[in-house]
Amino acid sequence: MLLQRVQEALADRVFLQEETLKLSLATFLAGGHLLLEDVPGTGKTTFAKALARVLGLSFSRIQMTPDLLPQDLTGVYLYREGSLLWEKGPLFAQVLLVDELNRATPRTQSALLEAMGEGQVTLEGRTHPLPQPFFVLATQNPVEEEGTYPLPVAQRDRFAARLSLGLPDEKALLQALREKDPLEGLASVAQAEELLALRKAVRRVRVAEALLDYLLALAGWLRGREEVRLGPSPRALLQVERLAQALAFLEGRPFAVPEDLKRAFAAAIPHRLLLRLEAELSGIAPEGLVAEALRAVPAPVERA
Amino acid sequence: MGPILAALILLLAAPPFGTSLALGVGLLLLAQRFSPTGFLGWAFLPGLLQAFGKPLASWLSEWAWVSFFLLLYGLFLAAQGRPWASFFLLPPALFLGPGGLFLLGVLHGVSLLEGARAQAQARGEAFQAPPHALAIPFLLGLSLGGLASFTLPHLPLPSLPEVRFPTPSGVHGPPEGGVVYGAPEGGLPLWALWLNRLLPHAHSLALLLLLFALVPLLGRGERLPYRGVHLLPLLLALLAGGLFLLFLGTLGGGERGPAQATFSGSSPLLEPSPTTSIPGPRRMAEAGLALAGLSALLTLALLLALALFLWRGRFLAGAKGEATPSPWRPRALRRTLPQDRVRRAYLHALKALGQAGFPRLPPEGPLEYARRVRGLFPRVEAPLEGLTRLYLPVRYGEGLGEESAQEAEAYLADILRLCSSNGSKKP
Repeated sequence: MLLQRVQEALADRVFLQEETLKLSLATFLAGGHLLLEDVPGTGKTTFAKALARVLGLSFSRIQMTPDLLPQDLTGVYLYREGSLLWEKGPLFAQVLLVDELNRATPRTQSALLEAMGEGQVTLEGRTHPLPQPFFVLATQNPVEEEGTYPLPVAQRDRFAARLSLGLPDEKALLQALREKDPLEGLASVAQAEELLALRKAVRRVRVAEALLDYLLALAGWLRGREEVRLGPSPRALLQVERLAQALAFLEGRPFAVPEDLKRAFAAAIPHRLLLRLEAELSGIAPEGLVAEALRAVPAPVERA
Repeated sequence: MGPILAALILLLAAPPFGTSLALGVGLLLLAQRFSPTGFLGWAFLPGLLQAFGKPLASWLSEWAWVSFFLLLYGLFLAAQGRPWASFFLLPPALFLGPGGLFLLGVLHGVSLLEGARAQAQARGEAFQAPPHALAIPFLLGLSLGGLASFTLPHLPLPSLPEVRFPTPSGVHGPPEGGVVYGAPEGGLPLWALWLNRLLPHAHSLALLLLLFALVPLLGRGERLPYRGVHLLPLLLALLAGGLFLLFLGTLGGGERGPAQATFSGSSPLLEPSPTTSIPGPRRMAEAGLALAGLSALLTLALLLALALFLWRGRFLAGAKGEATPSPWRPRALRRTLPQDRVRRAYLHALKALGQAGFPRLPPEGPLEYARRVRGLFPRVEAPLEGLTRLYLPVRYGEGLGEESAQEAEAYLADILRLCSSNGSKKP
C-alpha cells in the first residue's frame, strides 16, 4: 500500500496529521493540485520536499514575488549562436512547490493555469508537455495581506483541495528540535511509472449513483444558501468525485463510501465558495457552510 | 391453534369450494414445513380441481376464488407471529358475517398470545401469560362480531334488473330455467364481436388479474430497490378490476338469448329485440364499446407491465452472475438476491439499534455510525462492524455472494440479541 509506505518513510521526519497526509496523497492520485494554507513556519516547504522525495519525483520550488514574470516560471527562448535555444523554467518538474502564490501578480499566477489544467505549457506558439505525473503544491499565507494578490476564482478552482497543516503538538515539536535535517537520508518508496499506474487505478474506483446524487444534493444545498454568491462549479464536483475515489483507493476499497465523499467535499469545496460581502462581514466562513451542508443533507444509507 | 382457526374461517366462508380449499389448506401447511420461504406458490394449485366437469368460464372463476382464499391463508401463515397477520383473513370473515368476524377476533387474540409466547422463547425467558388470558380472544371476537351488527350505508350504484330467459318446454335448456348467454353478433365489426364474447368472462378476468398482480407482491420488501414498483401492478390491477366491475354493474353483459336462434316457435318473452331489451354495450352505443376497449387495453398494459417487471428482475439477477431460474416457478419469483438480504439485514440492525436508543443520524455514513455506536454500546461493536463491512460493498460497490448474505444475517441475529438484552436491562 502506497499510503503505508509513505507513512513509514515520513514517520518522525515530517509532523503531519494522518488525515492531512491521506488527503495530500489522495489529491496527488486524483490528478489534482494542492493548496496549502497556513501561517509561516509550519513545515509546508519541508512537507512538499519530503513528499517529492519519497514519491521518487523531480522537485522544484518557486518563491513568488510581485516582480516575477510568467517567463520566470515557464522558461524562455534564448538566441545563441544563430539559433533559438529553449531554456526550461522551474515549471518543468514533477512536483512543483509554489511558495506564497498570492504574492505574484495575477498575470504570473495565470501562467500556472494551463500547466495545472492541461499539463502543458505553450510558449511562442509551441506546446511543451510537462513531465508526468505533474503535481503543484502551492502555499499561501492567510495572515499577511499587504502586497498580496488574492487568487482569482478561476485559479482557485484549479486546486483540487485546500489543506492546512496546523501546528505540530509538543511531542512532535521536541522531535523536530532534535532532528538536524528531516530530509537527510529520506529514500523514495515509489516511482513515476508506478504512480501513473496508480492514478489510472484510482479512476476505476466505483462511485455509486446514490453517491453522485448525494454529491449533487450537497452542491444544491450550498447553491441554495443566500450567503453564497458562487457555489461549487461542475469542475469542483468532478474533483470531489475523483478525490473520493482516491481516498477510497488509499483505504484499499474498490468503491467509494459516503464518508469518502464527505471528506473530499470538505477538502475540495470551501476554497471555491464565493460568499456575499454581508456574509463575510458577519463572520460566516465557507468551511462553516460546508460543514453545515454535510450535517443537513442525509447520506445515502438505508433508512430505518 | 392459530392456523387451525384460520383454516376454519376459510372453510366456513367458502363452502362451494370445500374440497379444494381443505386440500389446499393441508398442502400449504405441509409446504410451509419444507419450504418456509417459498410455499405460497402452492396456493394456485388446488383450485385446478374445480376444472373437472365444468364449463371453462365457470371453473376459471372458481379457480381464481380458491387461489385467492388460499393465498390469503398462505399470507397469514407466512406472517404468523406478527400482530397484524390475522387480518389477512378479513375478506373470508366478512363473507361469513358476524360469525366470521367473531372467529377472526378469536383468531387475532390467539395469534397475539402465541406471538408473545414466541417472543419470550426467542429471548430465552419464561412466558408469563396475562391474567384471564383465555378471555382475551373471546372478548376480541365479541367486539369484532358486534361491529358487524352496524350496517354500512350502501353506495348509490345503479342496479339493473336481472335478465333471465325461461326455457321453453320440450327444449333442453340450461339448469334453473336460465339461459346460456351469447354475445350480440349483428352489425358489429369483428373486433367488437370478439370483445363482446369476452365480456361475459370479465369478472373472472378481473379476479385473475388481481391474482397475477399479487404474485410479485409475494417478494415485497426483499428487493429493496424496487419496493415501490411492487405496488404498481396491484394498483393497476385494482384499477382494471374496478373498471371491469363498474362496466358490468352499469352496462350489463350485452348478451342475447340463443333461444331466438335455436328454438322453433315463438315465445312472447323473446319477441322484443335483444338489443333493446337486454342491457349491454350496444345499448350505450359508442360509449359502451369505448369502455370495453379501454378495459381490454388496460388489461393488456397491465400484463405487459407485469411481464416486463418479472423479466427485469430476472435479468438483473442474471447480470449479477447468478443462475437465471425459470420465471414460471413460483419459488423463482421469490428468490432473493444476496445483496438484498445484506441490505435488509443492515436495515433491520439499524431499526433494532434505533429502538435500543442508538439511532443513526440522517447525515451519518455507515462507518461514522459504526464508530459512534462503538463508543456508546461497545458490546455491539464486533457484529455491527462485521455487518457494516458486508453492507458497504453491497450498497456502494459490486455486491457480494451468498455466503456474505448468510454472514450478514448471523451478525444481525447477534445485534438483535444484544439489543434485546440491552433493552431488558434498562430500568
